[in-house]
Amino acid sequence: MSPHPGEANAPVPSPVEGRVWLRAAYAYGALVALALAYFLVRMPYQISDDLEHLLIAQYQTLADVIRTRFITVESMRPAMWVTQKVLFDLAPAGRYFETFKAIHVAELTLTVVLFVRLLRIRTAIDFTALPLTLAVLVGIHTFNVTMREGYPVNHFMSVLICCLAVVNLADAQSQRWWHDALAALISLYAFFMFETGALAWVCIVAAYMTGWRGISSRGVVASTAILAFYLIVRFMVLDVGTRTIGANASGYGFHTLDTGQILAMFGDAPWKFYLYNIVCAWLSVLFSEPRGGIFQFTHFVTLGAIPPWSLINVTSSTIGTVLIAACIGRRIRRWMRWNLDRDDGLLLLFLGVLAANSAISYPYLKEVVVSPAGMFYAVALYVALRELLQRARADASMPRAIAIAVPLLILSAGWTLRAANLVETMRESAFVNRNDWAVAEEREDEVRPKWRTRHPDAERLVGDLKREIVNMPVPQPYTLRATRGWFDPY
Amino acid sequence: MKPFSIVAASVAAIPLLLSVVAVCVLADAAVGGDPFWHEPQLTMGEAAALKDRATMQRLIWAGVDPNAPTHVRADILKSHDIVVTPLEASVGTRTPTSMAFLLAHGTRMDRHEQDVVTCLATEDDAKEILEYLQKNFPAEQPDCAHVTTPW
Repeated sequence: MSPHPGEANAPVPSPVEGRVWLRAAYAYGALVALALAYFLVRMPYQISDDLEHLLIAQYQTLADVIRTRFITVESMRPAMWVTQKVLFDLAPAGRYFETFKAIHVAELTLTVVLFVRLLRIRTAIDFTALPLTLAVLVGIHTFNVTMREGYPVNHFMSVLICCLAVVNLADAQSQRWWHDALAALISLYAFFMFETGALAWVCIVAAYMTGWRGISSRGVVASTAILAFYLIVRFMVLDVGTRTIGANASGYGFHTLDTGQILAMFGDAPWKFYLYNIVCAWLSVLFSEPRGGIFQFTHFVTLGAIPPWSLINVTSSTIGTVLIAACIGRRIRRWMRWNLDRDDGLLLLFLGVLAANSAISYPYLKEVVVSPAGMFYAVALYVALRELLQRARADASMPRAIAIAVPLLILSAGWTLRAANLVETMRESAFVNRNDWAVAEEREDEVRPKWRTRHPDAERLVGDLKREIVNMPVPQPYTLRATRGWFDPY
Repeated sequence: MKPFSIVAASVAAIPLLLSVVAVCVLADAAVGGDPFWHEPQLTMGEAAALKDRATMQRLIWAGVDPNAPTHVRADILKSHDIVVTPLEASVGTRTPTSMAFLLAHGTRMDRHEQDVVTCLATEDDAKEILEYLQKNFPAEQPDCAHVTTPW
């Protein structure tokens, strides 16, 4: 069992101390996941995508799903469709909502557990940084929207789990053949589930390059071969292609452009739009500005009216990014010599995922797409915070401690409010989603006029789902008017 | 207090409050509470005034008459309690969402009621509602000076 490169110099906690703090960390993570699950199970899914996917699962057999859904318009997500179909068929006695919510809660719990495992909490200082790190994980805008999605399986969260799973495998102190096999299977599922699933491969390669050997070179080669197979099938065999300019509306400057406007502005030079999107995705993770391609905070500044939530978002992200940058700055010389410890690996993972995730966002900007980068941002901030705490313990005078504490207090208060914001947005989404379900049939008639004839039981299914959701109690978001300026409405 | 304690507290103290809230939420939920998820009981008029189509649907399923005047509590439409029909209450949203839902689910709008909601919408400068009425219920603009409105 060999430590990660450079780790030999790190202070080693006693086994008992390590176990105590590790258990405390898992308990804390479980508490956060359970509290969020309380709200999650009460929030109806959005009707768009969700209802249509349920109706498809109803009228198509599994074989039909595989045959017809392997490719759809500019996307190839067979694993997503198969997962939904299998869960739809397995749902006991038509309890679809409960089934998909149970999966969603399991995904959330697994995400938090794998995330905490990756942080490797072993000391009091590690644990001190944990509450803020988890607040960043659930409070960042990219996770907020991820939490509320569901098609009805939350595939964006599945991508987070795939990334965390392979990174945790790579982080193992010993090599096992099944690490490689599991990493290959996860890669296969992730690539064929969602486009951002390719980030699982980025994680495997980045971890290997930084010296993590839980997944061996055989595992890396296998995952790379699967990625090559995926690309060949997608682009050469089936010619599915990918999203191109004008496929979706997207933010630009201070406004959202519709597809026609995007084509009119960038049709002759799409690369300019792609470059804008890549840079904006990158900036959005680091500074919470722009949002979905729209320079929202800057717009508020020009109007002379900055809502508190916007100021909190940008300030907390900027302080966090400065801390990460300072942490990287202190390590850069060692990085040049490729002398890396485990924390270097975590930071490089973040940089690798951020770069790849931003690049994937080139056709249009959607916050949920950059959720893997947002998650690894929280990991990187954990490394920076822990290092800061270690330095403060080793050498901090009172004036210096106070000087450090002020920005840290702003940082922790800001991210705590952003984490609380997740609950508020779930409350609002619950209200909006339930109202949309109240007109489910009318909506389907308008969007898909033939939906009633696709399956003899389609009307019953929609009626049952509508009745179940309309009867779910949801809070009135308008009752919290006094706090509205403090909560991000997006 | 040691300098390190100040730094550690600045990092952890406020986020730890979330865990206190999380414990309270789970404990309250365990004994049957609805922490942060309480749904107020609304009348048809209140639901219309809050664009709450799901509550309107639920009340209709429960047999509530969508034409009957209902009580709307203070601060939903006005700063004081008022009694209005659901259609009149829907004007307060300034969008036709509630109005269209009510009309599609059994609410009747006679000429007098149409005059009242038109005058309310005119008074509130609710352009979307005026456009909706113009498109779906074309009629001459009433003389609002002679139409009694609830506000």
